[in-house]
Amino acid sequence: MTNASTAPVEIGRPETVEDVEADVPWIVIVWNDPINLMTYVTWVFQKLFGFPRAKAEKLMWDVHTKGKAVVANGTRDEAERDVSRLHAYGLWATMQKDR
Amino acid sequence: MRLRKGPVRRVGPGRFELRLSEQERDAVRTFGGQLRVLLTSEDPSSDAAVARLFPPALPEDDVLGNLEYEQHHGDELLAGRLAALDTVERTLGLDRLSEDELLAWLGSLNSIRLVIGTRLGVTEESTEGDFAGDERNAEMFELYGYLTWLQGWVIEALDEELREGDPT
Repeated sequence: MTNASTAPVEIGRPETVEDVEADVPWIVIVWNDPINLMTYVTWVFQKLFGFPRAKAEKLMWDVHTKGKAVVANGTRDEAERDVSRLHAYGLWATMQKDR
Repeated sequence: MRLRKGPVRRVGPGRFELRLSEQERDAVRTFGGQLRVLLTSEDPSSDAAVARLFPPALPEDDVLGNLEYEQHHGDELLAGRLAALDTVERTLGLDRLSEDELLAWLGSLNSIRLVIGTRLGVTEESTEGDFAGDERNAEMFELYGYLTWLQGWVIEALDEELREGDPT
C-alpha cells in the first residue's frame, strides 16, 4: 500500500494449497500491493465487512507489514462472494481452503 | 502562497461538494475515457495493467478454478467498472454529488490509478526521480500523484460519512 513515509513491502503470492476435505472452511486473504492507499484499504474493510475502525486498521497494518491478512472465512460460496466484492474495490484478494 | 482547500468535502448526510478546476475535470474525463477504451477492448485481460483489475481468486496453479471464477464474476466486475465510469462522466460538471456518485468517483479513480501504477511499475517508495529520465513516464507519474491526492480527499469525505453513520 502506498504511504510516502513507510518502508517497502514485497508483494505476496498465494501459497499453493493441496486439496483437502470438502467441508474444510475457506479463508479470504488480502495481499499487499504498492498502489492501493492505506486509508482506502481501511475504509474498504469497514464498508464491506462492517468492521469497527480499530479492527479494520489492524487488518490493514497486517496487510501492509506482513504482506497479507485473512479478512474473512466461511463456505466456498461465501469466500468467493467476498473475494469478488474485494476485487470490485480493486483490492488484491484470493481465497483458499483453511488448513 | 495560499493553501488550497480540499477538493472534496462532506457538506451533510450523503451530500458532498466537489471543487475542481476545469483542468482537473478534463484530466479525470480523459483518464476515464482511456480506461473505458481499455475495458471495452476485445481482450482486456491480455493487457497486464488492465488484468490488475481482474485478479485471480485462487492460487495460480488452480487454472480451472480461476477460469470458473472469471466466468462467474468477470462480467459483473466489468459492468460495475463501466457503470462507475458512466456516473463519473455524467457528474463531471457538477459541484454537488450524492454518496453513490462519489462512490463511483472513488472506484473509478482507484481503477485508473491501478492501471497507471501497474503500467509504470510503481513501488511503495517510488519518487519523481525514478521517472525523470523519460518525459512520458514523468508526466504519467505526476498525473498518478495528482489522482492519488484526489482519491485521498474522496476517502476522507467518505470516511466522515462512515463515522457519522456509525456510533461505534
